[in-house]
Amino acid sequence: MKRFIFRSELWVTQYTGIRVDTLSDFRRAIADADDDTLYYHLFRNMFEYHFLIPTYSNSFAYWFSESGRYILAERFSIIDPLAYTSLNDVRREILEILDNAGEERRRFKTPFYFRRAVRDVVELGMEARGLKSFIKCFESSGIYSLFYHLVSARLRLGAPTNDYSEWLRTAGQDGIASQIEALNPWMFDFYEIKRFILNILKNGSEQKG
Amino acid sequence: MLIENYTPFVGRGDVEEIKRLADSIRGAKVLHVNSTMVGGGVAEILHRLVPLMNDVGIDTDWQIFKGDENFFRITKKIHNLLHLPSAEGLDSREILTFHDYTCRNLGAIDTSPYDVVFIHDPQPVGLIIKRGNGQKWIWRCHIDVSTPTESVWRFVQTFSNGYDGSIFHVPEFISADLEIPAFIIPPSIDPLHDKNRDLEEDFVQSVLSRFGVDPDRPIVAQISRFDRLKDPIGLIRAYRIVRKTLDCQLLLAGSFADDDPEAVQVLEEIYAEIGKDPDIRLLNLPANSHLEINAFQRAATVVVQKSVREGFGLVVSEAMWKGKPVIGSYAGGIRRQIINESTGFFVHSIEGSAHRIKQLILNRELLEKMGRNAREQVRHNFLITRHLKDYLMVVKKLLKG
Repeated sequence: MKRFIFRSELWVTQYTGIRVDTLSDFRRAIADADDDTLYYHLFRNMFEYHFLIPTYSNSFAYWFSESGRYILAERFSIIDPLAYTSLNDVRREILEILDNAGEERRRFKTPFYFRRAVRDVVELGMEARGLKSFIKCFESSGIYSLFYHLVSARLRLGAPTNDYSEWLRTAGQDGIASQIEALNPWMFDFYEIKRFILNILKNGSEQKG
Repeated sequence: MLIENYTPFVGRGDVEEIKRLADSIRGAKVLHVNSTMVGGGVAEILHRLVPLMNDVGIDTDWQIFKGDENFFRITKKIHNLLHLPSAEGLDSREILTFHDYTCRNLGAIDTSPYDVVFIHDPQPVGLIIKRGNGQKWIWRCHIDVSTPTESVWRFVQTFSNGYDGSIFHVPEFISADLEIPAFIIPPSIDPLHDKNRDLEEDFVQSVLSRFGVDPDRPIVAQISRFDRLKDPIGLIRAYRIVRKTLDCQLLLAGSFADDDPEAVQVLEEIYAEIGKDPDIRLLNLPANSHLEINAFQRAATVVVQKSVREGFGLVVSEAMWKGKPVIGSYAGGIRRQIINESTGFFVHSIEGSAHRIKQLILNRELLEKMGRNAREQVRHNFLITRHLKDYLMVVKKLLKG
């Protein structure tokens, strides 16, 4: 059986030097932004506020709302980065919303500062070769690790799945894999998600046992 | 290991990640340089971060850039002129004194054994002249330079442009014409510091009783220096509106140096505003009253930070860590810490402050829910473990690309 290496994703924020205060400049910046910049504003934002049910789901939407552009804020808020497996597809959706909003040169109340996530992945020194050891390692890992394997894995794998489910299928645990895939990280905080996954794993393990 | 002491706050997973990250840059030698060993937020954070960096295996030293009263008068002026635009600038004598002290410290501070050198704030910025081949130097700017006095910013830039990168608290603090890469690393609080560690309820009660605060009535508190920019008068007026319909007390606690003439004057203004109101406690405490401040924050029903202008305002995170929602103005770093309507409220006026104070005192459920969110916001984003992780990431990025 293939082993599962537990890893974790860490990041530090870097300012891109791009600061915009009109819709046209914002559109241009989105079109030119690198993947780590889009990742920062869409994914890292989700992680940063995971314990809340925020009014708006990403920092772009917040910026629009701060300037009273509520319709745009709501249109941006409905963007679900988890519905995509590539950042370019998310970018396309954003540009479409902006194109429909039309050209506008009115200045916003505050500028938007584009930031990027400088990312690094570390191995946690834990690996699993079977369900039992997988459960033990999973229990010890933190929510940064959970985010790496469950959420940003979609972009890495280019498929609507996650590292856990991928590996569990190779271990013959298709049922558990599908249950984990069905979890929606938007609905719960990552501590809850971790608890749910642990329950799924333990129940699955007992049934097999 | 020292880092293990943080496991109860952030979990085993987070601590393990920090250790693994440190392992990936083991062997790197790091130096921090600032201009004071005691007093101020920079020294306070270095006292905690340097031992932690060593603890996780990164050989880290801390050296002090030395100056005299005249030098620090000039660097205080630089600080103020970087903070806000002014018609004033540095005269030739001040520039020469700055260079003179930079030269003196060039000989006193040995930067050669280090792979990465962190220079904190403008005082030691000129040390960049010493940068050796293969070394990475980073300028950690703790002040808001978004609207600087042009001539002074140009003067500082002649040095800062020589750095491999910079670090600012928030992007809003960065000057539009900064020419080097900038990382965004907000400051942090240490849950093990006397300011923040858990306290026995008996101790909290004894502090309240020592300072004449009634533990049985709601307490509205603001902890801050006695400075007009913290708007203590505005808070007193907000409290008076609340008092028309609700029983509560106001606690204003802070401290100032005896030789700060402006603080003395502000204190007098506050006393005049208070008049004979027995329910307002104004406490001028010694600078090291960490446990007392901790107790006041824990005992408070609602914490307010009504600053007109603010640096980062870490006192907000200190209160939030104790499970208190904070009512704050939309200024400086306060807007990064409070999540409006989730961990507290942003307010823009005396009336707005009064409205939110009343809401939180009257609605215990809301108060508790926001308090839980507030603590989680700090646990997730403003603890020293996140700060340590960010610094290790910067070191790794600089050394390994």
